[in-house]
Amino acid sequence: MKTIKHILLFIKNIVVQVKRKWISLPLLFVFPIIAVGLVITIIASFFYPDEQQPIQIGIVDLDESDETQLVTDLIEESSQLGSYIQVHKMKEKEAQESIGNNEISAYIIFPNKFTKSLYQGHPVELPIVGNPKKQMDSLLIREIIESVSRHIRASQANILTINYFAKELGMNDEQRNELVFEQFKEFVFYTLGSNQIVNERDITNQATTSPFHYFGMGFWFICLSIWLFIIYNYLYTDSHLRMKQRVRLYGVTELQQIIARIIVSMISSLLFCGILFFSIDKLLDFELSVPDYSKGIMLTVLYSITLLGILAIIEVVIVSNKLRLLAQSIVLLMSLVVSGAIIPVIYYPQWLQGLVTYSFTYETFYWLIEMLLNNRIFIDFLPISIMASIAISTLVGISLWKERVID
Amino acid sequence: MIDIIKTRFIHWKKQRISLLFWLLFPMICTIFIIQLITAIQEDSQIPVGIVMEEDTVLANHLYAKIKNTPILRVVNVTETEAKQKVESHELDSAFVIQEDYEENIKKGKRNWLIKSYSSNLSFAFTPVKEMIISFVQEETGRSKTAHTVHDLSTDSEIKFSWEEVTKKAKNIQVEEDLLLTTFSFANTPNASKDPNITPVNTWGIWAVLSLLSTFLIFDWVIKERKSVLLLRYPFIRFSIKSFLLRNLLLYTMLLFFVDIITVILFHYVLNESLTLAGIGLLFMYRFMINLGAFLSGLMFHRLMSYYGFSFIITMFISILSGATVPIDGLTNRFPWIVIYNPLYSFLEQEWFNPWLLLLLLVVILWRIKGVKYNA
Repeated sequence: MKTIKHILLFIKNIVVQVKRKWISLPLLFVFPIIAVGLVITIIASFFYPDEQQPIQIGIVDLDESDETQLVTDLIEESSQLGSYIQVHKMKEKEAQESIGNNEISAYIIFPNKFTKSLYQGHPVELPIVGNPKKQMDSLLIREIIESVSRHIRASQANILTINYFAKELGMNDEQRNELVFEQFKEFVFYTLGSNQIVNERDITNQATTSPFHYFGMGFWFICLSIWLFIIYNYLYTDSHLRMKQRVRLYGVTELQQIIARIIVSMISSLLFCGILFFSIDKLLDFELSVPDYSKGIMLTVLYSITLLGILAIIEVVIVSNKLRLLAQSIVLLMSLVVSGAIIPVIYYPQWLQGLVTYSFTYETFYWLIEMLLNNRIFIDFLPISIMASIAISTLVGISLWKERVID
Repeated sequence: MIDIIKTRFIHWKKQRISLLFWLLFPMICTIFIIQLITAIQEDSQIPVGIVMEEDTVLANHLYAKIKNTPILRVVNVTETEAKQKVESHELDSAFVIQEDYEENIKKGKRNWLIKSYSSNLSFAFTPVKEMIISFVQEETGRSKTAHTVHDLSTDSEIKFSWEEVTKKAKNIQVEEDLLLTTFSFANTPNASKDPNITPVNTWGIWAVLSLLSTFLIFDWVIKERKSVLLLRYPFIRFSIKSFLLRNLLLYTMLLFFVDIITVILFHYVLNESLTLAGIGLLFMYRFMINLGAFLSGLMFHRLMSYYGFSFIITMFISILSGATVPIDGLTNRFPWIVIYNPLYSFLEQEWFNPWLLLLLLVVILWRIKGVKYNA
């Protein structure tokens, strides 16, 4: 009874304190949205390249044979590369200058005697020179060229085979050279048509399963976690040892103050993320029913308790302020990385996937996605409830034990 | 100055574990992060479902090839399972090697040999599809060759069988893997077949961590301006400003010493380059963040707010500087962003550093003007 009274008193105290610093409150609200929004914009602008400013590539043709001309023309016009890549033929010197001036992202060199070596079966190198100032672009280009050269490699073997059998059949040199060039052209076009091999079927029965919904939820989840973290620490007051001792004389424990802070930060974060969720829902429309809401809130509350419990444990264990903040940030960052809110967990290595399932952030985010995106009715609250109670009981245990030791 | 060094050493002795931790933290943590990311990147796999509708030599050959691709994790499924698992996003995408695969290839057909299932959450679908296409294309290309040879030999009495021609083509390809691509960045000497280009930027990560630890080490600026202490400054030989500036110099020397160790360590452990120009730029960066931390420290009176500020500023700079997430997409669109990026000079090896000049100017102005702490 006395404990509850103390906790209520501290909550009141915190509210009074916060009222005094109310100007910083909207800042707390906006800050994570800006930070996470910024990351998303950056990543999105990377994945959805600007069509106004396509990636510029140079092609240097030192060989200047019919074949390389054909290929360079094709690459220059090919729609396969999409509208966000532009290819320019240039001299080697121009290319070097353009890289220096940061005008192109990379250039490819068709070396001297490229075609001849291909036909005769001599090894050839196709150098790609990237712009160190545009590393990501260069990497993308390298991937494309790799796949083009994989096709060329296969075609080359086939052309050589035809050449070989034509020789066996006693065809004269002139005829054979003509045939080989014909075949070269044919294989180039054959390669361009390779998309017909796969018959693509799209699976999208549900309107709510889109990357936007997935990462919209990810955005919300990350914001929630950061809010919990910063509000909890915002309420932290560094009281002197003497003050602590005086307070203890009144039978007040540190744990009571921590619990008061946990409650206040949880309620304010829930308020914040409620506002954020409604704005996201307005944009994306998750088609939620009333029971979904109650389950979602339940999940969010359990998650908040677990996260705050862990942050509080760190606070009790680590005395140094600097180290405490560092440890809390690292734990938060790690838990967010393994939650799947940033990168879906299925793309992680298998050993990591095994570990990830024990993480409370993964557990929460998984069920949120199952409920919102995959319309699951049943939600397994057991693991997250167990994790929350473990976090809280550990916090209580450590805190009480520590208080004893100090006494 | 000797006195300052002496007193500072007494300070450092008292907090040596804390100081040592924050001095070494950027270095050790960077190495740890790089190793972790490399390990995760190496083991990362895309889960792909494969449905086998026929059990023939060519189909099994294709299956083996897909399975041997290191970046794919193949899951054997039936078609209904495939659909369902792609839908619930347990698999990135699924591919069906359809019935009569071998027969169609032998006939020289290549359309719709494979059926694929993907959803709009299949982020890796396009590259995986391209890869599988290139595998199938190899087979169909050989088959096409066989047909071409067959057409050539219609007038001749020598005939070559399908198997004979495809075997020859295969041999040629295996024996003479002829076309290589090499990749290199301009201005770096050696091109290699498989260069180690990862989006992880060692110095970027270090720069961010070192920014954080520098800010946290610089809490002395606040601690030594407490009102209790302020009363004592009139009784020592230095004005408070000169006292703080001398200490700034001392801390810069200490931190730069640790930076030099870092450069050497990174050179040997992470194969980073070790050049005089790099060390010069590193010194400029070190000087810049020290000035930044020093000035920020002067703005605060409460330690906790200063710590909060340190973490927040580190977070924003790490996002916006391109040290943690690649910002090429953003800088291509808005090139002026780089001017506002305090890490730009250091990471892009640019000698002009407007932030350093600006901060230096502010510190000089603070030294000349502002009588706040001199009273």
